[in-house]
Amino acid sequence: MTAWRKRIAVIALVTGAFFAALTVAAIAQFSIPGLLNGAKDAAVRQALSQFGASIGDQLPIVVRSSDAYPTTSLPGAPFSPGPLPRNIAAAALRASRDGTIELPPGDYEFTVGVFCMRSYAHSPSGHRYLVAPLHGAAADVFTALNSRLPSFNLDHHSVQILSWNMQAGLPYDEMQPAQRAIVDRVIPDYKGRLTGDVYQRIQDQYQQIVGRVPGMPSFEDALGRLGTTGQAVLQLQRLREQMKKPPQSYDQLARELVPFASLIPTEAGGSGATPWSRYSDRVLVRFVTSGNYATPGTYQVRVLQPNGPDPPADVPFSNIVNNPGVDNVQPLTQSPQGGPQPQPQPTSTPPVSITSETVATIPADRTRTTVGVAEQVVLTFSGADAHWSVSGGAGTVDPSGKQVTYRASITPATETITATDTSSGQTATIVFQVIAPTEITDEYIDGTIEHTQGHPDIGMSVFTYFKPDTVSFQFIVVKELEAPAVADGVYAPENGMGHKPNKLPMPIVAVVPGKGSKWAGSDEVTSGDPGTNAPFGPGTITTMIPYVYAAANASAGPFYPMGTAQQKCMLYDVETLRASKAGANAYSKVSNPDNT
Amino acid sequence: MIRSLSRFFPLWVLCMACICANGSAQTAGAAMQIQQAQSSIGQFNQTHAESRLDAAIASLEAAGAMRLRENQRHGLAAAYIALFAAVDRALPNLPPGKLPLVNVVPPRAHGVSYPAGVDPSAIRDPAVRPRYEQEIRDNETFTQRFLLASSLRRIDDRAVLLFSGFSRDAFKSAADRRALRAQIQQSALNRARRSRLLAAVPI
Repeated sequence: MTAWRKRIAVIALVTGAFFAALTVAAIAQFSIPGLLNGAKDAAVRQALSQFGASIGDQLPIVVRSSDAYPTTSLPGAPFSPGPLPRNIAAAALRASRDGTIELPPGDYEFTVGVFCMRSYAHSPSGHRYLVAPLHGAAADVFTALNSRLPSFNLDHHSVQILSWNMQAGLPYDEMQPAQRAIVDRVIPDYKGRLTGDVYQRIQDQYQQIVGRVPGMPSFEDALGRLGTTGQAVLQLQRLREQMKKPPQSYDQLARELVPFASLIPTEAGGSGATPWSRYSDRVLVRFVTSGNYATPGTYQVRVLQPNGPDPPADVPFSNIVNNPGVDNVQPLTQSPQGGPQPQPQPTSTPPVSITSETVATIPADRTRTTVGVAEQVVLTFSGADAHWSVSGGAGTVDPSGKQVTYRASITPATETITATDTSSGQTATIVFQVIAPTEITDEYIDGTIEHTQGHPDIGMSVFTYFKPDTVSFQFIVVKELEAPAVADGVYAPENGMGHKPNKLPMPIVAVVPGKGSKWAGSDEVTSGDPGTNAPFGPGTITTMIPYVYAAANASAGPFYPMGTAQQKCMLYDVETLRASKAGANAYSKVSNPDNT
Repeated sequence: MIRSLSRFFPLWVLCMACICANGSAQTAGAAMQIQQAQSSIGQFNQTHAESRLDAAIASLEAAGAMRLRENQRHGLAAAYIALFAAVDRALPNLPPGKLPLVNVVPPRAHGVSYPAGVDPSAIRDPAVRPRYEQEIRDNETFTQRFLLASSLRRIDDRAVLLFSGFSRDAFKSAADRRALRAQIQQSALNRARRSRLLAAVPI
């Protein structure tokens, strides 16, 4: 067993003992006679335990002092990094989705900028770190940020502040403009992940428990009884308050979050050479530094020869954290330094662009950027791969790929879709106008008059269209709502009768040029016949029918209003009958033969 | 040290298990996306939940942009073919020309007829009302099948469009495209489907 393995074991043991002690302490607290008892006591303990577990899943970043890949000695020849084109890592990382890049067998060395992953912890110079997996609810967001940073010439301090913002669970809207700008530019596709206030969410969850379980302590007391998890939430809250009103200067903030007192090596970091960490069977890595959080470090990689035919191996860069092994020292994430490496030059590379093709084949112009609500469009990026985001409405776009699907907002909107090149960081946008149906029109189907000779009844079948015909409404479903009939004269017995249409919404079959999107169902417009005897006096039966629509993949709703159609049948005089609905008309006479 | 460790062996095992599990989770990429797509298609075959096809397409989109090795290109094409086969199998067989009704017309009885779509409770005749209610239920059942068919056709149209783009980007040479066409020809898809896909592969 190596010294570091022993160290991990000891830390694990100490941590276990610590948690055990906390549990005993907590149980002791709840066992005070007269305070809580019996079933109530047990219910409170169980609720607290479950709450504690749920908190752990929500903390943006979690670095346990014991986290680390197994350490190992370097097999084979001494470490000897060869020359590597300096922009290789940056270019490959931009395209990486998991924070790794493929490298062929060999030794590599990278200069990496580092970022503090804890608040109120020291960062002594020359500390010894072990490489560990990055954990936490926002681990993938940090990975994406650090993967893409080398492609942008950003102020390191501003990025560090953004990192603290994210560690504090601060929502995007409450970040400072400089940090919001970095999100918009570097990780726009993760913006949706930065919308909720983590602390507020945790507090709200607790209040729900309080409403359910009698005898729960106050929120603050509960956190105090949840050991390290509760402390982590309190620290998150403290950091959150600080990040909402940051000090005037970065230096001042850094002094508060990374106390300056101990920029000297600590005993805990250990001495001697930094051990190698075994990331996978073929990849060994280590992070070495003689500096601290404010200075770059060196990231060393050895990719071993494979046994099989697949030479490159996945090498971790931004999906890891350099773990100090103790709680009072800053863990550091890393990103290959962009400074001296060639930066993407937007002016020297061809501009990127987005082309679009509607899934609906009609209207014929499939490159149109005015689309129906919920309409689907396949977007193609001119580069090899992109991260995608959408703003301005309720539409969605698949997050990554060269070709992705955009689903327009279910309500009218102007939506902007941005593609960020995973290789160059360049962005392209495309704007869609999303419109809802503006008009309902019916079309009489020839030969469908319904009539019984000698009776005052009339009916017809109609097709229904939703205008305009310049977009496709194929991606919505439509239904009529119930409405009472208003009837008089010969139809008076039907007054107030409910119109109870098909409760299922129906799809659109196709767009018919000049008419609009054609509804799948055929609609029957009928007057009914009260069965009274001749002669008949004039009368009308009218129903104002509301129409609603929903996304085609959500036929249970929610539904959105789209207009009202008037359905009316009447006997003009003692002889002439007319049925009408939304522009469609059919006529008959009482004396006409059946169905004419 | 080892003696003291043995007292806490389960905790140590737990620590190592966490570390190992995380290491294996690092492998991602095209192979994983293709596997996810196949898995989603498998779930659709069992459940007919259209959301699984959407998930499969999202995985295929993501895989299409990745570095694909030769066998992965054809693996991705095979996943598309599996998706199209799943759609074809699930498409309901609807009577040609039949459409669902917005409103059902109640049967005429004893010289009285009611407006289409009237609430069944308005019909007093105990013989007529159940008939009308049954016709409403039949119409709803048919509407359900019609909705499923429409949904699958929309998914299918989108998948064909994406497949066309994928075949254009991933199979650039004439030899590549010949190989893709051969893969389509040799698939178990029905003739109409094969023709549609072959037409989607650029010349």
